Amino acid sequence: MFKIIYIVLLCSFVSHAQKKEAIKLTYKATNYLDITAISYDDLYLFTDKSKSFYIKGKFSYNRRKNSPDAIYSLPNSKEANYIYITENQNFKIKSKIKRLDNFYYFEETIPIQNWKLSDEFKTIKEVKLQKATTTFRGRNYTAWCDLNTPISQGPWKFNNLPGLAYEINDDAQDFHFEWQLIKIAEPKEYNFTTYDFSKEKTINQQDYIKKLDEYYKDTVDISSTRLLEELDVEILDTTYQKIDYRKRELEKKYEWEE
Amino acid sequence: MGRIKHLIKIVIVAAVLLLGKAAVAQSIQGVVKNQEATALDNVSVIVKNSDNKTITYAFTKNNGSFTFENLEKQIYTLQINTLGYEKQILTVDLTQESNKKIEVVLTVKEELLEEIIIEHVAPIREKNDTIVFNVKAFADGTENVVEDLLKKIPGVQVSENGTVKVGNQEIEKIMIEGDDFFEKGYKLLSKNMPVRPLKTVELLKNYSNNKHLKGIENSDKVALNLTLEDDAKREWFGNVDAGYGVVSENRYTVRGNLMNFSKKSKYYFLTNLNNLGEDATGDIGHLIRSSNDYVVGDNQSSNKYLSLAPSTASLRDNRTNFNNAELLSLNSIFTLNPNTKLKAIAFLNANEQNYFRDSFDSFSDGNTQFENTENYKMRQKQFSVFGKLDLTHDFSKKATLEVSTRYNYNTNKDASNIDFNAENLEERLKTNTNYFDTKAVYTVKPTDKKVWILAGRFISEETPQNYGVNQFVYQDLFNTNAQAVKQTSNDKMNFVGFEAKFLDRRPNGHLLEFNLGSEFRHDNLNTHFALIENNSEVFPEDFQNQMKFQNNNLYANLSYAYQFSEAFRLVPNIKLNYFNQELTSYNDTKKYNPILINPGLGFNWDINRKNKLQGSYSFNWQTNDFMNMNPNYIHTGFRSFSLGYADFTKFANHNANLGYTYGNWSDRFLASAFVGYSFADSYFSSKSDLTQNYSLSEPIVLNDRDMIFYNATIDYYFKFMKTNLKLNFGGNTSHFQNYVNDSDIRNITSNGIDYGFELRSGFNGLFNYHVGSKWNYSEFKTNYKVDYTNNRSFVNLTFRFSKKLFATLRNERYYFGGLSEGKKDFYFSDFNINYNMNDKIQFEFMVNNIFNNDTFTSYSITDISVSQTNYKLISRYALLKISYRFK
Repeated sequence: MFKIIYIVLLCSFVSHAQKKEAIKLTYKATNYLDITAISYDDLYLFTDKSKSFYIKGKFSYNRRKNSPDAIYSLPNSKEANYIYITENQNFKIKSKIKRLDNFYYFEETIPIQNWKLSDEFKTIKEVKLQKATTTFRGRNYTAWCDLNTPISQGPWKFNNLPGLAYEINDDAQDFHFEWQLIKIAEPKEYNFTTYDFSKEKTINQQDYIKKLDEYYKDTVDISSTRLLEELDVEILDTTYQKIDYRKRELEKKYEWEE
Repeated sequence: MGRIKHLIKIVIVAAVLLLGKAAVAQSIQGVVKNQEATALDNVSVIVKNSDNKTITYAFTKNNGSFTFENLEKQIYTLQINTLGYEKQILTVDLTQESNKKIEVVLTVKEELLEEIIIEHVAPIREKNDTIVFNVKAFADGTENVVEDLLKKIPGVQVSENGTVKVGNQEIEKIMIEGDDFFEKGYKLLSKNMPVRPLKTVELLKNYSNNKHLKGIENSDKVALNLTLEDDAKREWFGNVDAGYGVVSENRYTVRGNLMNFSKKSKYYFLTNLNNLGEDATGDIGHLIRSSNDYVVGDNQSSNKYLSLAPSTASLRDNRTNFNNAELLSLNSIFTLNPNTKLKAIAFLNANEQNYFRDSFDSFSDGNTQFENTENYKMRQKQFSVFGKLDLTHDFSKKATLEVSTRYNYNTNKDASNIDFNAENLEERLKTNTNYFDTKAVYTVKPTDKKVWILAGRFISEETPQNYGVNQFVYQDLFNTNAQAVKQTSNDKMNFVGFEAKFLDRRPNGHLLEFNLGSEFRHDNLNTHFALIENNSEVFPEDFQNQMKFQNNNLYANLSYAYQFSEAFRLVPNIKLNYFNQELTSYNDTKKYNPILINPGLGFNWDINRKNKLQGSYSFNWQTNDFMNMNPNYIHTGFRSFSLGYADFTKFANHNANLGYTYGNWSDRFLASAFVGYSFADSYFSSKSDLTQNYSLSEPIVLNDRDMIFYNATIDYYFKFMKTNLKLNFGGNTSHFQNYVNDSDIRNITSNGIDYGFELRSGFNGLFNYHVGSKWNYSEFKTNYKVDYTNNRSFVNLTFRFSKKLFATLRNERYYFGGLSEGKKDFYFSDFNINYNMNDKIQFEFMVNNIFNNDTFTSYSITDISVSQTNYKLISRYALLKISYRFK
């Protein structure tokens, strides 16, 4: 009888011992485009270091402070629009992106980013951060990292960071992007089964980029011919094409385009 | 001795070089494993020098290995760290060895990262849907007024009369930096405001005029908001355009704008003077009489029975409008405190317009036939003053009061000179309008999803009219020989209305709307018609009216929008009206108290991303309109008299429609189709007496009228040609009946069909084209058939020679299939060329009506007549214009 009780106790102890699957880092991502867009994104790092998931949150748009009525957001969607799954083994990223009203699934091989450490430091919440810089797909990024926390994966597609990145900024003037670490949660078990893309139709990243290029070019052309069916107005010119849509994108230039 | 020193130097240099080279070629290699000898990947290895400065770092590969090369001959510390293991710090001395190989074994650490919050996470709030267009992206410096710019924004269309639509939805307003001056009278802004200080044009979809309704009402409404360049704010800026005719009669145009938009006050002053036929205000009725969201009492106006303004040829304003217009508008918005805004609008408008036409009409009802020739000239002088004061106060974030008062004084003096058959006559008509309107709207939100809107309104209007004609052509009607005729009429109207409206957006997404209201209107109408015989006035019986009409409408509306899924919505609704009407004519009083119930059903279905369907059905009761209740004749126009219906009535109408759209705005292929059907069990038709010199008509109730109308549009973009093809097809058919001149009941079928195409290019270079053609077929069938086909075709070319110089050439051709003799087709051409000298100055030279067509003939039919009308056109002119932008 004593033995049985012992086994029961052992079983219950085992069943309560849960596997801690992933750490969740929450980043506040800000895009300074024509207006400011903010989202709260989650980066999940698997404790067995096999992969990481980066899931973009809903956007909210902010305008200038003196127009308090003017806060905008895109229509609410139930599914996450941008998901990046990085497989550390083979440096591949599987992405699910909603663009042009469709979901696209594609795979890319990500180059390892070369972060150069520089001698500048700053402190956030009593943590000392060192500055590191790199260039990736047409933009120059500056990251403030805590070298004592050995997390090399950053938000979005950033990898090979010297330590946990508290802030990452892009140095462009007009259209630039920022990430700011908001929260680090202890490892927990999460449900990642909804992020199984193996059954979806994937396309090649190069084809996807080509599709985008063509779409933006078409939209401009289509606009200039559909405006105004009534009499009287003609389009004398449009300068839209001269502002390349890529200027507003995170990735301005790809490896195969250089 | 010198040679040895030299040799030593070489040796030292060589040694240094060797040593140096050796010093740079140090490296560290290593492997990191755990206690079970498994290689650990992605372990952070940081190399620091003796000053504790970080030199470089790496992460171990899949096999746990790491390598550092090109290190100096120094002592380094290595920090090896990874989550779940104890951090290790090792010292590596590279002063003796040049290649160090290390093996590191990490021990497991129990705790992992703990939860840390670095900054508070703000919740995301959902607001309207907006798409922002950067003005710089779409403007190219050639636009002159906001209307021109709006025409270039994708999805926005501006129609001929300036109505701005997005898709098929007309916009509610055009705001500047979030503030709105003109509500639905936005054309005043879009036709005059310059584009240069604009930074972005924001398209706000699913827009709610009342900010408390955001997120509660189902709205398809759209509004535009213009934001200004930073340097345009807080400063006075504006522009002046002036143009004058060269080589032709005195044509001129002057337009000026002066603006200042700062936080506490916004000012917008504008003036427009021209005789080019341009309409500077757009439809001012919107600004004067309506509100964005319907408020009890909107569009109430007193009745006017007479008007001398004739129809004009359906050509652009600048071909047929012989005008001389002056407009001055002063507008300001003051932010008195963060919760209170005061808006003041005033404008003065004076216009003199001339009309010239001559027509040949032939009437035939199968039995009687006659022909009339008319040569008509009219001058209309109009003067209008309008003032509006709006005060908006937010008691809290959930309650707002808006009080608005408007006043309009208008006077029209019309003088016509007519050659009718063999006689020459002159008419004079003077119309005055005195309109006063005040309303208060109180909105309160007891919870986030419920809202009450309480409104009260008072309107008072009077429109006295004075008419006289100096000849007498009604011998047959009055059996007397008078010399002249005159009529005075005046309708004094007062309106008081109250309404309480409740909206509740339920948690499941459904929307409940309930209104309860009372409208009370009182009209006092007096018409006096006199024949002038030998300098004394004779008032024929049957041609005088003295009426008082009281209409009290108590109503309740209920509608419930079921949102079955995000894509499907069904909206049943019901309206209940209780009318209390009283008509007093001289001493005779009649009353009428019907209770009417109007049910309806509508639905919206977004089948998928590309296919959308919507439809509705409604059953509507209508009562007799006061305007056609006059028991005695009223002179309603040259040679026409009309009688009202003797009694109260009510009619029921069935209305159904269905609309379908395929594709989204920027897809290459777009299609839309619409069909509507309307059936009236009883309706008002007319019984007319037509003779050569006069016509009398009275309403009569007949049965069974139906109408069907339909149209479809297809857009397809050809990529290789960079051209969009648009195909249009539409039509309508209606069956109705009437009586003419003692005939039996006449059954009439009218059919109309129109179809056409347009091709428009979007090249980036020197040249662009826009061509199209549209056919209209029209037919009336009684016991014989009359029909015709008309066509309008156009070819517009635009040239951009450089960033500063551009030109447009417009050509049109009109064809009238019914014209029996003479010219059937008419060609018009206009040319203009613009030169931007610099940022501040622009020149324009234009030639209008190059072929100098001075007459335009058009052809039209009704079920009893065929008319051929010649209109005088503005002759060819050349104008040189200069624009100057200041600040």
